Amino acid sequence: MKKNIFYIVFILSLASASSCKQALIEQMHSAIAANNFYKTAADAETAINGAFSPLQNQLYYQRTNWCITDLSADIFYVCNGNSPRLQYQMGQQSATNSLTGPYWQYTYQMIKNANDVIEYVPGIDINIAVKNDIVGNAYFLRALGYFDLVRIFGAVPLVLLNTSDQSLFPKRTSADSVYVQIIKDLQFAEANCLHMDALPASKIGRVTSEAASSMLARVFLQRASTSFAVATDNQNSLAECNKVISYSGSHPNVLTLVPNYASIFNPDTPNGPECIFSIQFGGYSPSSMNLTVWMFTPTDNPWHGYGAFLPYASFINAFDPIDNRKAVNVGLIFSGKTYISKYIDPALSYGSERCNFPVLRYADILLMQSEALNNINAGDVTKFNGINAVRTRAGLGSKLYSLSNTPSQADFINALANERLCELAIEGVRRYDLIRWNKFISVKAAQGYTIDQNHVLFPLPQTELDVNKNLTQSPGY
Amino acid sequence: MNKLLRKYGKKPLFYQFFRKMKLTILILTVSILSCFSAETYSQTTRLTITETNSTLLNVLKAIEGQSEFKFFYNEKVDVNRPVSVDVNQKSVTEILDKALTNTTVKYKVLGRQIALYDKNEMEPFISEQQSKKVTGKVTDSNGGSLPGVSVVVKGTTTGVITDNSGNYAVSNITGNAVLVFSFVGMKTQEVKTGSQSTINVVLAEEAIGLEEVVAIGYGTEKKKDITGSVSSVNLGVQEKTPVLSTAQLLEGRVAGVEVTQQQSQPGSTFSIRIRGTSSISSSSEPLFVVDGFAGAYYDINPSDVLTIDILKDASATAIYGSRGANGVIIITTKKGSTTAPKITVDAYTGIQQTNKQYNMMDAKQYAVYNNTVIQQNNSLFGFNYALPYTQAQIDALGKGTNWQDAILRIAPISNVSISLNKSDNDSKHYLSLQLSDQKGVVIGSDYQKAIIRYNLDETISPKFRTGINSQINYSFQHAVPVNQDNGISLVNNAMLFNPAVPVFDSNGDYSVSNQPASIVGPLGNPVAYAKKVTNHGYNVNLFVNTYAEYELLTGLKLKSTFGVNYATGGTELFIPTTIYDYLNVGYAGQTSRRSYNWLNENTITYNKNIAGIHAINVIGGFTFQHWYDKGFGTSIAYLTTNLLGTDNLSVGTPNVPSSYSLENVLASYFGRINYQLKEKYLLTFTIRADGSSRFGANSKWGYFPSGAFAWHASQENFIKNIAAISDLKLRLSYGVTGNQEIGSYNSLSQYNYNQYSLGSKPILAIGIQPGNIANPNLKWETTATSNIGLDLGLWNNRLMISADYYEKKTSDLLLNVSIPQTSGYTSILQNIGLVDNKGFEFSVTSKNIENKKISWSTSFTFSTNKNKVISLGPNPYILTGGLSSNIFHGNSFNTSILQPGYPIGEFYGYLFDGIWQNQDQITQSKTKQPVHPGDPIYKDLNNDGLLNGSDRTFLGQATPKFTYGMTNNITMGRFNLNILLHGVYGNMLINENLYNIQNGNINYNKLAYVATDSWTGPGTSNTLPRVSSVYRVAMGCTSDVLESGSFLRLKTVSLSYNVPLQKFTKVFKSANVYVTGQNLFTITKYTGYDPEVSSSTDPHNLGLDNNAYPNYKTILVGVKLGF
Repeated sequence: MKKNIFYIVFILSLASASSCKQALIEQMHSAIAANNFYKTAADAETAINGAFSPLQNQLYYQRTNWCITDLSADIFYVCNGNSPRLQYQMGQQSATNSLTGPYWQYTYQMIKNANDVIEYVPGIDINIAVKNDIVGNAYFLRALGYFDLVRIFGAVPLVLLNTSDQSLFPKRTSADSVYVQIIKDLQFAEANCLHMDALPASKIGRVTSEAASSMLARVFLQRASTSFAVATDNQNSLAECNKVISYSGSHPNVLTLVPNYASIFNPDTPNGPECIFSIQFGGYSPSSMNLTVWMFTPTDNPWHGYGAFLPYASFINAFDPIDNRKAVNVGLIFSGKTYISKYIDPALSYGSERCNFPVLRYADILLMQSEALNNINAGDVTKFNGINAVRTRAGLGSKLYSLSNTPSQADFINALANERLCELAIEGVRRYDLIRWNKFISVKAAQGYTIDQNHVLFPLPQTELDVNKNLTQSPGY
Repeated sequence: MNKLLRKYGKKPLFYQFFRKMKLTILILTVSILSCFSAETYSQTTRLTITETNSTLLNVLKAIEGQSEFKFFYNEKVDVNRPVSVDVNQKSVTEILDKALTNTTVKYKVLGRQIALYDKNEMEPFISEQQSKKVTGKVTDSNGGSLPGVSVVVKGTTTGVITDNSGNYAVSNITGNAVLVFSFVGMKTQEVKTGSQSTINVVLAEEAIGLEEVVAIGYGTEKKKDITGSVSSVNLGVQEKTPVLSTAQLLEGRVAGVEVTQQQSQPGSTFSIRIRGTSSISSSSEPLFVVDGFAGAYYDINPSDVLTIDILKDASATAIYGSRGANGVIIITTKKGSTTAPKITVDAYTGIQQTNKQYNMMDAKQYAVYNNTVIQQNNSLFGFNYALPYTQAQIDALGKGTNWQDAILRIAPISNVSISLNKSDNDSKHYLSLQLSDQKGVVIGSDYQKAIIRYNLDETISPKFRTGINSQINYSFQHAVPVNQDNGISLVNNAMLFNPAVPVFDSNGDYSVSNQPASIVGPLGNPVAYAKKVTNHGYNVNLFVNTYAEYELLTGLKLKSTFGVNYATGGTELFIPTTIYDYLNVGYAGQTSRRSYNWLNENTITYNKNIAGIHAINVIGGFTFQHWYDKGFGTSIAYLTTNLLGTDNLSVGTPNVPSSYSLENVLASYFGRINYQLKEKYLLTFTIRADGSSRFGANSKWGYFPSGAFAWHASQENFIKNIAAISDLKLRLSYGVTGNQEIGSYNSLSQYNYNQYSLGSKPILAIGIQPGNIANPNLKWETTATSNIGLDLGLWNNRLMISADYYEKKTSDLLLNVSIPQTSGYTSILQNIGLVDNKGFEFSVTSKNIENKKISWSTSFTFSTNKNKVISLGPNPYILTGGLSSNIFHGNSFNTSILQPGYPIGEFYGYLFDGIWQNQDQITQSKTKQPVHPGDPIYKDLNNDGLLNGSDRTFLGQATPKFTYGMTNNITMGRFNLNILLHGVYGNMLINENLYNIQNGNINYNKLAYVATDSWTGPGTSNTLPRVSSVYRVAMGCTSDVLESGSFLRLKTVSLSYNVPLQKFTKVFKSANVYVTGQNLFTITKYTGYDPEVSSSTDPHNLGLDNNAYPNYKTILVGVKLGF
C-alpha cells in the first residue's frame, strides 16, 4: 500500500512534468499571431481596412484635424476656455499641447498600418491587380499622413518600413525629401488603384486613381509655394487637375460638380459624384459616428450640441448675400447667435454619425486648376473656368470673375482665397491655403493674433522629444 | 488505581513528587505548605495482609482494599518488585517497613494518604490541611465556554481540565492556594482562591507566542524556528474589529505592509504593498495563498480567517519563485474545533458618512464668476463675448443647489456571519455563512455579498488524512462611475455642475440643462444619473481545494492537493435616453467573464530529529497550475425603448461586440531544507524552478534560490543567565525571487482588430493592424533580497521587539518603455533597469499592565522604505504617469519621472513661482510665453525665455517616507477597548481636481474661495491666478496642484462588553456586544476628500487623486453570540 501510493504520486508527477514543455508554449487565442496572417486575399482586405481605421478617431480626422487646419485659421473660434484649442486659435501652440501629441500618434499609427500592408501584401499569392489596388490604397494613406505632417511640422521622421527593420529612433527628414516620397507614393496609387467607375459599391470609401491624382495636384501646388519648390510643380499640379477633369468629362455619373451645394453634405446621399475622397463614418454603429456637428451646434434643445466654436464675423461676412453656400455653412441662428451649420444632419436625429468628412472633392479640383493656371500664366483666361463654375453653382452666376474685374495675379489669388473660404470651409484646407498664399500671418494679425514666422510650423510634441533624443525641436520653441 | 493517579483529573488531589526540574518551586512550596496535621489514622488502623511471593503493587492494593489509605508514587518506585508480606493486625507503617526492606524507597504518611518515594529524591510535602472544593467556569473573552483548559493548583501539578461546557471542580484546596488556568493560545491566568468557592475565569487571547505555529509556504513552522522575515497578524485582537473584507485586517497592523483601498466605493478592491513598490509596470501586489492554494481569490469572510502570515524576505518567499518578489500573504481559514462554541453568530449594523466636502461656490457666486471670466477675456484678448448672466439674473439667484449634498447621504451598512463547528475524533467540520449589505455614501452605489465556506478534515487512519477547503462567494455591486480617466465621474460632476440649476425642473423632472455653462461631462445632472442609470457588477467565485496526506514512514509524508478556483461574473450598464447625456441615444450593454485556474501540487516531506541535537525538515515538490480567462461584451445604442434596460439587447443599434480568451500555464519544481542544531542554529535553503507560458520563447524557465541562517541566541547559556532576556534571535537571509505578472501574449507579435466604415450603404468593415512589437526575450523580474533581522523578548516576553533591515534589488524590470510614436506604437514591454528598495521595519508589543483587573497591551509598528531607481537600461529617464484626459482634452500629460537616483513615483513638472502681477513684470522677464497679468508663473529653470520640457523638475515623491501604526488593547473586567492609529508620512499627492475646481479649466463650478481669493489686479494675490487664466492646464503637471499626503488617522476604536448572559440562560455559551468607530478623525493638510486615495490601479500613476469616491467614517454596533 505504501509503495503503491508512492509510485502513483511519482508517476503522476512525472506525467505532469513531461506534459510541461508542451504546455509552456503560449497559444494565442483572441488575437491573430503575426505568422498566421497575410496568407489570403481576405487578409489583404482586412489589413487595408485596418490601415484606414485610425482616421475615424476623434483625436485625428474626426476633430483635431479640422482644429489644426480651420480653428487655427480664420473660420471659427473657441467659445470657452479650452486651452489647447485656444492655443491653436491664437497661433501659440506649445510642444505640450494635448491635441497635437495624439494627432502625431494617430498619423504615425496609420502610416505604420500602411507600411505593414506595403511590406507584406505583395507577398500574398493573389491576383496582381487586386494586390496592387490594395497596396496603392496603402501608399495613398501613407502619403496623406506625411503630407499633413510635413505641412504642420516641416521636417519629420520619414518611416517607410516597420520597426522590426529599422531604427526606432529616427531623425527628422528634410521637408523636401518628405515631399519627394509623398509624390512617389501617390504616383504608385495613381497607377494602381481602381478608377472611380470600377470601384464596386461595397468598396466606396476606398482610394481611387482619381483620388491619387487629385492629391498629387494638391501636393504639387503646395510644394510650388515652398522654398524647395521644383520648377515644374505648377505644371504638374495642372496636369493632375486636368486628368481628373477629363475623367469627369468622360464619367459624369461618377464624378462631376453636382448642381446643389447642400447635397454634398447631406448624409442621406453620401459619397455622391462630387466626392473624390472622404473619411468615412457611419455603418450604424455609435463607435463610428462623426461628432463634428456637435462641436458647433448650440447646447440648447433640440441640438444638444457642445457649442464649442462660433464662426468669426469675417467668415459670415465673406459670403455674398445671395451665395447659396451661406445657408449651408452658417445657416443656424439661435438665441441671436450664428452657428456653423455645415454638417448638420437634416434628419436631426441624435448623433450625426452618417456625416463623412470630405478630403477631396470636385470643386476643389476646379479651384486648384484655376490656381495652377494663375500661377503659371496670370494672363491665361482659362483660369476663370474653374472658379466661375464653382461660383455659378453657388448662385453667383451673375457675379463671375474675369480679367476685367480681377486683372492681376494677386487680385485673382484674393478672389480665390475668398472663394475657397466659402466653398471649402472646415474641409481641412484653410490653414494650408493661407500659408501657400503667404497670407497666414497677415490674416491672423487682422484677427489680433501676432504670430512669429517660426510659429507657422508647429513644435514637435514634447512626448516625442522626451523619448527620441535624435529629434530636435523646431526653431522658436 | 494508584497508577492512574499520575493522570490529571482522576483524583481531586495529586501530589507532585521529586521534580528535580522544579526544585525551586518545591522549595517555595515547602515554605507555603509548612503545616502538618496529626497523623492518628495511620496509628490506629490495623491491617491483615497475606501476599507471599507477590509484588509491591499487590501489597499496596491490598492495603487500599482494607483501609481508606491511598498511595501515591512516581516511576522511581518499582512497584513490580517482588515482595512477600504476611502480617496480621499490623499498623500500616509496620507493613510498609517490611515490604520496603532493602530498598531505597521511603514513605511518608499524611492522614489517609501515603506517598512512596525514592530516598535519593526529595521528600514529598503532603498537606492534610482542612480543604475545600472550588468550582467555576472558564470562558474566552467573547464569553464562549472553553473546554480543555487546565486548572492547576499553583506549585503542584494537581489539577483538572474543564469539561465540554468549560466547567471545572477542584476539591481539597487549601485556603491560600492559587489556581493557574492555562490554555493554548490564551494568556495564562492565576487566581487566589481565598474564601471563594466559585471562581469563573475569562481567559484572554495571547499575542502570537513563540510556540505558536505560523504558516510558511508548503508547511508550517514554530515561530521560534523561523529563519526568514515573517509577520503574523494577531487575530486575537483583530476579531474585535468588524470589517467586511479580509484585506482590511491588515490595515496598520503589520510593519512593512501598506493597505490602500483603491476606491472607497463599496465593493472596490484593496491594494496591498509589502516592502514598497519593486515593480514599475508589472503588478506590485503580493501573492495570496489561501489554505495552500497559491494565487487564490482572497475575498474571504474575515470571521473565517484563523491566521494571516506575511512572508516578506526572499528566504520566506523563494518557495514561490517567480511570484514571490512582492511578498506572500498566507491565509489559513478555521477548521472544526472542539474548543469553540458549536454555533457563533456575529452581527453588526451601522452608518457611514463622508468626512468632508469640497466647499464649492453657490449659485450667485458662480454666476458672478462666469461673468468675470468673460469680462477678463474680453478685456485681455479684445473679444466681444456677451456676459452669460445679467445683473437681474444674478440678483435673483440664491444659494442654488449644493450638488455634493444632493448625491451624498448617510448610508447604512450591516453584516451577519454565522458559523457552525462540529468535531469528533476523526472529522472536523467548519461551515460558515457571511451576508453583508453596504450602501454607499454616494447615492446609487451599494454592495452586497454572501460567502459560504465549508472546511472538512478527515482522519482516515493515523497515517492517512484528507480534507477539503471550499468557498463560494456571490457579490453584487451597484456602482457609480468614479475615478475614471475619461472624467466620467459622478462625484466629479457633482463638484463641477452649475449650482444655479435645480435638481428638479418645474415639471418635477430631473433638470437636464446646465446653462449657461457648457455641458459638464457626459453625465449631466448627477442625481438623475445616479437614480436612472443601472450600473451593476456581479461575481460568483467558487473555490475548492482538496488534499490527501499519507505518512509513508515515520517522519516521511506524501501530500497531494488538487484545487480549482472558478470565477464568473459580469456587468450590466444601462443609460436611458431620458437623462442628459452628450449623445442622448441611450446605451445598454452587458459583459460576461468566466475564468478558472486549477492547481495540482505534490509534495514529499521528511522530518527527523536525531538525539535532540539535529532536527531536519526537508520538502520537495512539483506543482502545475493552469489559468483560463474568457469574456465577451455586447452593447447597443440608439435605444427605441427605455423599458427593458439591459434585459433585451435587441431594442437598439448594436455596437461592435468584443470578446477575449487568455490562457497561461505555470509549472514548478521546488525544494526546501530546514536544519536545526541544538535549537540554537537554524539553517534554511530553498529553491524553486518556474516555467511560465507567459515568458518569451528564449526564457521559459527561471530559477529562484535562497538561503537563511538564524541564531537562537537565547538558547546559549551566557544569554540564559541574563534574566531580563527571555528570547533573542538573529536572522540573516539572502535570496532571489521573481515577478511574472506581465499578462498573457505580451512576448508575442499580434494583430488587433478594428473597423472602418465602407460601402455606398456603409457597413463597418473589419480591419486589422499590427498591435505590438514582439519581444521573445521577455521574462520575469528578478528581485534579490538581503535581510537581517532581530527578535528580542524581554522580561518573560512582556516586551517583544522585532526589527528587520532589508535591501531588495529588482533587475530586469518589466517596463512598458515609451518609444517614439513614429514607430506607430507608443511603447514596448521590455526587461530593463534596476530598482532598489531599502527599508527598515520595527515592531514592538508590550504588555503594559497585566493583572486580574486590567490588562493593557500596546503594539507599535513602524516601517520605512527608500525606493530608488538605479538604472533604466539605455534610457536616461522615462516619463510616466498620466493626467486625466478629461482635464486636458486630448492626450494626457505625464506626471512622473523614472530617473536613476529618484524613487518610482517621483512627480515631475513645472515649479509654480507666484503670479504675474503686471505687464512690466512680464516684459522685464523677457519671457516668450504668451502670458498675461494674473497668469501663474512657472519657473523658466534654464532662463532661455521659453517654457518647455527642459524647464521641468523633480517635485516630490508619491511613496511615503515612513508609515506607522499603533494598536492599544485594554481589557478591564468585561470591557475591552481596542484602538488603532495609522499614519503615513512624507508622500505627495497630485490633486487633479484642482485643475477643474480651482484654476485651469474655466466654466466648471469652483471652490468658494476662488471667488474671493483669486488675483484681480496687481498685488491682490500671489498664489491663486486670475479666474480666467487657463495657463496652468496648458502646462500639465505643476507643483501647485501637488499636496502633502501625510496623515495620522484614528482608524478604529472598538469597545466591547462581555455580557454575563450565561448566568441567566444555558442557551448561550458566550455573548458580546460592541460598538466600533472607523476613520473617526484624520489629521492631514490634504485639501481633497481624503489623503488615503489611489485613483488609478496603474502602477505608473502613484499618488493620483482624480475625482475619487469620497472616504467616510463608520459607526457600528454589533453582537457576537456563541451557542
